[in-house]
Amino acid sequence: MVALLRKTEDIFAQLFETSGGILVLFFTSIAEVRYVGRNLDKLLKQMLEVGFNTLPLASLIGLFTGMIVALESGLELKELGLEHIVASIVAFSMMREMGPVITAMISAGRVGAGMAAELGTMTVNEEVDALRSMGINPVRYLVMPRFWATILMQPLLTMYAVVIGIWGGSLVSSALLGIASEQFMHNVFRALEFSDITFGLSKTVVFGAMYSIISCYMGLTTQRGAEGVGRSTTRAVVVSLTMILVADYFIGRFFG
Amino acid sequence: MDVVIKHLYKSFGDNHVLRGVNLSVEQGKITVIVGGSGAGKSVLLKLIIGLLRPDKGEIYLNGTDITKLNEGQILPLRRKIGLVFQTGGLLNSLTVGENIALPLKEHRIGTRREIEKIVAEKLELLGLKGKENEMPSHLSGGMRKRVSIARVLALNPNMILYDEPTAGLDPPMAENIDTLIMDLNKRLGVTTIVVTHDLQSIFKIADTVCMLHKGVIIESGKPEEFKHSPTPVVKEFLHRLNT
Repeated sequence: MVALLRKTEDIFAQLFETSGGILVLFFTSIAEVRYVGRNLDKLLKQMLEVGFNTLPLASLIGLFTGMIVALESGLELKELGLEHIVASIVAFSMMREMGPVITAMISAGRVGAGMAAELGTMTVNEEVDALRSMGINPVRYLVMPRFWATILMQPLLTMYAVVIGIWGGSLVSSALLGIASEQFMHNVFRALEFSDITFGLSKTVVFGAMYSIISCYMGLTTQRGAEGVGRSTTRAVVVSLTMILVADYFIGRFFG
Repeated sequence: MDVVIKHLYKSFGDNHVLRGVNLSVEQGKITVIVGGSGAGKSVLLKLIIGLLRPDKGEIYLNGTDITKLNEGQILPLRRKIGLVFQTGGLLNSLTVGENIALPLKEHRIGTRREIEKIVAEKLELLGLKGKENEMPSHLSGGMRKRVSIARVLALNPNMILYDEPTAGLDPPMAENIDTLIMDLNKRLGVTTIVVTHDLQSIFKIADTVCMLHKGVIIESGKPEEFKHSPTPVVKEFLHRLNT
């Protein structure tokens, strides 16, 4: 019984330490934005990684997500004679839900895991300590460019995935439901409102900020060599994906 | 820069590494800290530069107690202290030249041309001329240590801390590094603290030798005094290194 209580106490202590550390890193990264000018090279490098290098994966995932939404909803709606609303469903779900969430998830799995592994390796190789020993702030040098690059690029990446997804939906609608592409696009533009776009893109900023800070935190707190790097990377992805879904629910519940 | 350490304690969980270290390091001299594996020598260096926080005790650098400073206040102070890591601590994503230029660029010291000049100077001083475009992963252990020393020198420190500078090096390379440490100490007048296991190094470079055992400094003196110390633990330590 005592052992169980002690174990529970340890779990809660670890939970508070981790969430506190993540929050401190988040606010520090925001405050460090004043040094973004002298770190432009690092910011651009990270923007390339978060944005451009994720495009192939975002294309594939976005395309198939749009196609699946059109397929699943289209065949049911066709039986009811309501196939003309498939475009609205694809546009609405891609812009408000599927686009932001799926893009954030693949980014957390690709970019976030990369951040955790890279910073984790630097930590166990004493590179982060070396920076501190030279009077260089590791948050400014390593975390801030990654954090702001993600915040800037995640909405663009999501918008791209949404467009590709809608295009995928139009392909399926045209092939299986007999809806012309022009008609499909016309319905998309009629269904989407400006508030849907701002809502979807606002979510991506929150998701991007979350997975980048969680991943950087996990990387910087890595211990015990290569095994520790693996563990940090796994934790970064698992915690990021969980937090993305939790945040998605609460954003939808209170702001949707 | 002089260092005074008073009643320093540091634990990691149940592992009580330092249990009341008292130590004085004279300005401009070479102090060598010896002790068995896991005695806390590297921890002591990291405490002196403020990379770790003590549980208790005081560390005075030129009269300033750094244990009272926060991370933001320590950062500028660290520019005056260089730490040569056991593994080199080089950033593997940067070239040798970029590694040496890194602290200068980040602290905005000098123009691009001036930084290039400093990098070239330091490389030449350490016998690494022409290596600026090499990646650290392509260098030998000895070279990595020399690049690490070059990077430390780029900021003109008042004190240099070396963590096992000759570990893993062959005897000629180890002697080379020892000579370099002495040369830099004489030429630049920097206070030097060296943590080592290497018996040759201890008696070649030290002005003062201190032995850390079970979390406290049990012996401190000139190399000759240390060699003939009557303390059983010191005798045993020297005997083990000799054999």
